[in-house]
Amino acid sequence: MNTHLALASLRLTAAAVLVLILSAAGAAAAIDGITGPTFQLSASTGYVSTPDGGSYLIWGYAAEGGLAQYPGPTLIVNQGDTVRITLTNNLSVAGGGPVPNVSMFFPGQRVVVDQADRGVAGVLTSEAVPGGTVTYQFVAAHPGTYTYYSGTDTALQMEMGLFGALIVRPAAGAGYAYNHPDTAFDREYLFLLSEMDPRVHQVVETQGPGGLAATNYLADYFAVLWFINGRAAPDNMMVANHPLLPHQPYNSFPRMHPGEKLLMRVVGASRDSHPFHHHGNHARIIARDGRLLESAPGAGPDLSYEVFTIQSVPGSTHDAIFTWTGKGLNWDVYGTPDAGAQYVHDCIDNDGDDFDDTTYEYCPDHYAVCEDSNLDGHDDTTGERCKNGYTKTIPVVLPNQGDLVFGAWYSGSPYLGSLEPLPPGEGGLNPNGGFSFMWHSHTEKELTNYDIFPGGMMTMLIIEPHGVDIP
Amino acid sequence: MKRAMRTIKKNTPVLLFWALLLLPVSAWAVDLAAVAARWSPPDGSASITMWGFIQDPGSCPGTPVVWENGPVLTAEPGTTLTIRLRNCLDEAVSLIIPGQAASLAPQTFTDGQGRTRVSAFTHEAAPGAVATYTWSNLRAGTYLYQSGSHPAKQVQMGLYGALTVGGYPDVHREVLLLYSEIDPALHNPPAAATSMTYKPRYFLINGKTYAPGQPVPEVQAGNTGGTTLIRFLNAGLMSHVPVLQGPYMRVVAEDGNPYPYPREQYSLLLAAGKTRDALWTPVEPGKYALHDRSLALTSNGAPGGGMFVHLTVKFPWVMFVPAITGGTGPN
Repeated sequence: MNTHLALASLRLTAAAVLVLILSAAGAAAAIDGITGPTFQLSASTGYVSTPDGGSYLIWGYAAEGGLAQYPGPTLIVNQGDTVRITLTNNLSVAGGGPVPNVSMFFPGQRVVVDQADRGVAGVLTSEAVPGGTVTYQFVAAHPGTYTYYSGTDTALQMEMGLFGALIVRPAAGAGYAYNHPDTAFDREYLFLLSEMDPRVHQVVETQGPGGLAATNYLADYFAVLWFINGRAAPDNMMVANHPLLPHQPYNSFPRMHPGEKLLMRVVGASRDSHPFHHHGNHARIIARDGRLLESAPGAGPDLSYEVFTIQSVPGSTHDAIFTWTGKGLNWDVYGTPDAGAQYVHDCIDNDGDDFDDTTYEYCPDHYAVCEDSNLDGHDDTTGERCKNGYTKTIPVVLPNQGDLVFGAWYSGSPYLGSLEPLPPGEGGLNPNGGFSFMWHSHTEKELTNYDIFPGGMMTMLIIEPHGVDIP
Repeated sequence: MKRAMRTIKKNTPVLLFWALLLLPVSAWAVDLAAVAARWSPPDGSASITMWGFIQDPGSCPGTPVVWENGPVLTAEPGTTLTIRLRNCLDEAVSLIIPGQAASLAPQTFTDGQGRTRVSAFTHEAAPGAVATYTWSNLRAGTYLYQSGSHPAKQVQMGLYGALTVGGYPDVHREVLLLYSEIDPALHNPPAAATSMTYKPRYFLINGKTYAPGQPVPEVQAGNTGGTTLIRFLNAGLMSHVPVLQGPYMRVVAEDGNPYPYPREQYSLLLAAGKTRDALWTPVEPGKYALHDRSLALTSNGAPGGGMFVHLTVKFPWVMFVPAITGGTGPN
């Protein structure tokens, strides 16, 4: 009896602590999409643009009153919602032949079809006939990142663009990926990875889907275009809902401050695997297919693991938490007085976590002086390259500007939040002096737009200095 | 699933032991033959030359047999497996089981430039001859057996099958799904697949492909409330991603190695040459579609079809008792 009481009170205490921890966090919502739980979608046709000047016919899901999108609308619901999606088939076939049925398939969800609007039976799920509708319903019982796609003639309809992401927010509230404190994040970004073989789109546009039977394109598949959230680089770094890309409303341009937790929601949206490589730091994979990597229910992501390349598998999803600080670089990311008077700054650590309480600078590297008593060019203790008696500046001798080729992301200064003069016409994409890291498919040929480098499945992560507003 | 035949016969003295003393068998013997075969595509296209493993009929068949996967072999962990292989093809063949230890004797040949090169992972059966292969102390799990001779040619010609060693506790039904592909262009005459030419047109599960307009291949996958074991194997040259409709699977092993914790997923990456075991406890009866999310969902170029099966789940027998006695029963 006493034991039971003690256990019960322990559980209560644990629950109270959890609530406290959960309510302490807050997050910026950065994923564009439409919120439920009731959705009126349609499937129709449109064209995507690629940075090499290409334009390709797509079939896409559209939000109510909207255009066909590549990818379809990101559906955002809350755990426990009864999600209802009515799909109208507004497809047309320019090249000739009958208009196909269309449908939506939700892997990982227990979908029922509304018997009052059940469309017609297909092999994978119920389908909407041309001009007709079908209504799907499921309870979003588990939080996480999911995908949806056409369950009708899937090899063709997915290639044409009929896919999207589904995000189920946990009962724990905004700022958590799952119902556990170890899944808290400060910012979240969707990385929906897809690719395209233009041959298929050209046959469908000119001959209709029937023209594919004389080819083996859907089996002998050979992609030459690669996308994140439906745009190929560098288009994906433009703002969302750009008027020049009416059928590709979503961008992919992650930004964060040092010390923040960035939740990566990675969706393998089309048919090829993509090794999504994120420069800057390792990321901790906490969930796959919308299930926390835990040894027992409630344990939290105790089976999570760190990677620097997320192997994105078709149809699967991964959630990973990425963080970045200057720790481990062994030089002061904000610069030192030795680098110039403008770099003088403080590192104030009142809470004792080794980081500045505001800027998240790693204080042990702040102005630390190189002790190189044997003058071998390296610190006696850390072994890092440095100059005896000097503070921890970046441990390289910066070449003269006349000897350099500049990237558009270079601010002129190697230090976070600082700008220095550049030759006319150089730089310009990094107005806050952030650090930029390329995030991209590690299948290097996928960094192209139809064989033109750079482009494709890549974007840049910007580490912005403290104080820069990130919407 | 139309259960593949089990061809293991227990050695007679061992069988007596088993019957009389109820002790586990310690040795398993199988007689296989590598034979010419034909596979008829469901779309009515001309049949395709294949090579296959069959239970050894004692002499070589006079005409090509109907191709299917090699027989499913079963054995118990820790025992010894002996396979006697009759070669009815006109080039040397051999047998390997990746993941099971055996003493291998690689075979070499001298190429046109006088270099010694490996042609087979182990000793071979010459055309018309018989060779014996032995694996002792078998590891538990799901394995592919396949030709170890010129594998880039012989495996994609169809020389593969499944070996299961042991089982899992509390499993009511076992389902075995062996994925493979056929590129007809490499079969008439048989030719080696290369990265330049391998373009399969047929995508098979257990030797069958779904063709649009025909019934979806069906696999009996047990009863509601019982646990079903799905053994996934990929004898093809491409990776595939089975996705189960609706429920999640608990992926419990890979290449015969158990995971420390089950992985709860609705999809799994089935790389070429890999095996993975998954457990699933269905709660509702019905047909659960299993489709390949790497979109090998075509049949000879036609959209629809390919690697697509229905896993059929029924109520357990006892569930019908109330209905028989006048109750409403489940519906």
